[in-house]
Amino acid sequence: MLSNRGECMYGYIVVGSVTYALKGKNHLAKQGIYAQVAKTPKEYNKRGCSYSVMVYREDLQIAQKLLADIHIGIQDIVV
Amino acid sequence: MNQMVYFDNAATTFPKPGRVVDSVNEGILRFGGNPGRSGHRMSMRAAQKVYDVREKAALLFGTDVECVIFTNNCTSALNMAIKGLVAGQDRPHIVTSCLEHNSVIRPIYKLAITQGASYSVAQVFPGDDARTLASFRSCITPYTKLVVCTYASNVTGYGLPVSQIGQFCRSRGIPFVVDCAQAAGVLPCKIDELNADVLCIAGHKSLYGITGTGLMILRPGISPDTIMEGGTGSASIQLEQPQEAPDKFESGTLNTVGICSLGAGMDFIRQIGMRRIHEKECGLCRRLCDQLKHVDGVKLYSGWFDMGRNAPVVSFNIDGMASEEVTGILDRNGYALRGGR
Repeated sequence: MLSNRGECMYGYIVVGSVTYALKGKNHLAKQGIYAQVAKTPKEYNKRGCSYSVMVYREDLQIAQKLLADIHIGIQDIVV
Repeated sequence: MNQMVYFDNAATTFPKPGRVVDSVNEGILRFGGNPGRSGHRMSMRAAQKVYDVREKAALLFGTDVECVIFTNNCTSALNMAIKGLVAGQDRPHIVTSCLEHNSVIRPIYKLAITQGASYSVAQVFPGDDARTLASFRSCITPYTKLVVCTYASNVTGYGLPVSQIGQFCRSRGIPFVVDCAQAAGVLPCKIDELNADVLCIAGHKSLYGITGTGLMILRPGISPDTIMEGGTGSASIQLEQPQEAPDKFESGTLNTVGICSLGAGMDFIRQIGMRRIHEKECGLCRRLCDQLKHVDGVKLYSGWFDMGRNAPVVSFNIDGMASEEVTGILDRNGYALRGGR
């Protein structure tokens, strides 16, 4: 989704598996952060197929910290 | 159709709860996409469903969600655990018990003939935990790399002192695998309470899932080697198998329909209450044993139905007859039982 200025509103936090992505999404939701799970777009995925937790760009920093708190390994951050 | 009285629940529970039957239908119709492979709505919905069932199992067995591995049955889980934990070890020594199913003893035997493994069989003394524990202790050598035993015998239902065996293993730094085929769903199986590193579970028995389902439950931090590699829907351009659970152990498309049934089965257990189920089943077993005791020629092999310890399994035979002969006659009279050795 694009903002009024044509920028992508979401950032992708690339994780190891769909299980970690769903675990991360649930954890973020409990902390009041809107998140979705999506297949990582091809241009961002360096290791082949992967899943990401998509969050609003302004939530990226806090989301990273929250995911690290529950030991979810982050493979990449794409904004 | 003639009425049948089904007594073969230790092999596979039947009939399944209505919600399990419905979940299979739902699994085909609603969660038909490939979980963890694609990104379209139906695939993501299937992935979410699989995750939800993983969470239920994590809660039931006391582990983290990613430490719940879906398998085809308990035998798959045991092979993965036993072979994976001693992989790459030079002439490992394994300790097991005298009450094991072939799903434990055959993988060990295979390791013995292919990997130079050796094994010792601890004796189980029904009603004497101290002696059983002493037997396990006496089997341990400096080369012991694994202890694996059943929670409760599939033949007699007798429960081993698994928590104490696990405690001993932990104190010696030896991985401990528990075969929970007969226990999961009727007896408490929290991985930490059992001091276990891996629990191997049948989905189609007391978890009420359909056949072709099972679980390998890992204690967080335990990561056996793989015995099978393949597509996982993650890190797909790497030749190396992903090293994070559950993907590490779940190569190939998951049995979504079976997983749906497992989820519904676990919901059923939560609703009724595991203790209540166990109480009822133990009561039925006691009643059956009390009646069988009065039948001439019947030899009973079971009789322990303590709450929270033994699995509700009744085993008997008739003097002078092969068990298959007895079950054959009973089958012709409308009773479904398991005969065999």
